[in-house]
Amino acid sequence: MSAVAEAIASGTMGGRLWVYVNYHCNLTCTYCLTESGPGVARRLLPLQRLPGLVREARETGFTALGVTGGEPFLVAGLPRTLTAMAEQLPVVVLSNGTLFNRRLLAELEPLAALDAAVQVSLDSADPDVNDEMRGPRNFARAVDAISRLRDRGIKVRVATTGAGLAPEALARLCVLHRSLGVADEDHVVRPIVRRGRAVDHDLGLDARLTDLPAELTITADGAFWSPFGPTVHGGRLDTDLLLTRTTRPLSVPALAMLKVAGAFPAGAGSDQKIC
Amino acid sequence: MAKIELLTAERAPLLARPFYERGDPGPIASALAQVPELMDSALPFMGAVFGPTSVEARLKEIVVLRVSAANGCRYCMETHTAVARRMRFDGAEIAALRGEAPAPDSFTPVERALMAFSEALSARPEEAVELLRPHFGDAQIVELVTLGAATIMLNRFATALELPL
Repeated sequence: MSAVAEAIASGTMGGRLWVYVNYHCNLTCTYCLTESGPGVARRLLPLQRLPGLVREARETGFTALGVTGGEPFLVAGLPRTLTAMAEQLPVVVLSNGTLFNRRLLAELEPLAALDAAVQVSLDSADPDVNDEMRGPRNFARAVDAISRLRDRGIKVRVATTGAGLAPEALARLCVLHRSLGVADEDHVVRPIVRRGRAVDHDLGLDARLTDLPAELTITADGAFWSPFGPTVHGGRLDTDLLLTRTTRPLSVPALAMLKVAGAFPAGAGSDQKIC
Repeated sequence: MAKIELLTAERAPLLARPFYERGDPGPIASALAQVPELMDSALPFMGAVFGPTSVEARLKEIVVLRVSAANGCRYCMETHTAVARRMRFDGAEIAALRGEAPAPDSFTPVERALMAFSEALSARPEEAVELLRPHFGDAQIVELVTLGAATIMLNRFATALELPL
């Protein structure tokens, strides 16, 4: 067993390898870690690099994959790549849920037969509250996307990002996702981390290294400690959680992570299950 | 102003943080921090090459300053002029090493050979080793060539990135 596989097995580092495929987005959420939006630098990670990266991840001992951005589904060709990835390791892809037209849904159908899930962001059962943070009509589009994905047999998770949802508000959100067919174990609640645009909106919690999950995250700019690491503020990439600029072979950032993890205990996982 | 961002302690990547523990690590390390995986190998390498070794420190400083002057590296010349002053090189010696005056009488034959070696290494490297032969054995020749070559590398690094003094 490799040192990385041992570290994953022991919980020193997370088993999920995250990949940022882009940084641009059709939304401009108030708490966005990466200051994503329509006009930002795209920082694209070429999709043709992913199959090799995934093969190496599996050989290295990673047990699952996460794909995020930006809005990943703005990247042409992503569905086919996701299918190839999910044939190697379980995949979750994060999405704002606004782009699932008939054509995209058809392209995603192969995921239904694989260990793959689309994680749609939904921050409140109250459309106005949700849309205030995520943009006009986001609630309606996200709810519609959840239904349409599930209709095609694609597993859906719901992600809620918030600064201390009141119990009653959380309960209503849980009623909503259950009504959409999303089980409690597929609802993840995450705090807002005070990085990226959240800083400008005075939102979220300051997070130290030890507060963040030790989940290796690959981007066009290098490898980071956590999916909360490769953030952008003022248009500038944050480098405080950068591990290495080298991303292949994957052993380079993975071993760097182990070196850092030797000095710092791992934080909680990137998802907090509440329901 | 440097041509790239010199990372501050607040923006120092994880592997770079140990190099900031005693304060500002200086422009070379702050630039290398952009590619943190280089630091663990590059900085200890430089420490070993430029630090105490079998060749006397004064002789090594002659090579570093003379090579830096021959390569026109303003950053390295100024920083190592300060080092040379601390090492008690006199004004005439420093001026000679900076290429601003002829070698003074105070330089020994070995030191003059090192000046000639430094100039040759920078312009005609195939001729450089023979200038050391009368004074040094193989191990020290390798050490001095490594020192001179590492200095040239840093000269190019500092000049290309326009590292600030």
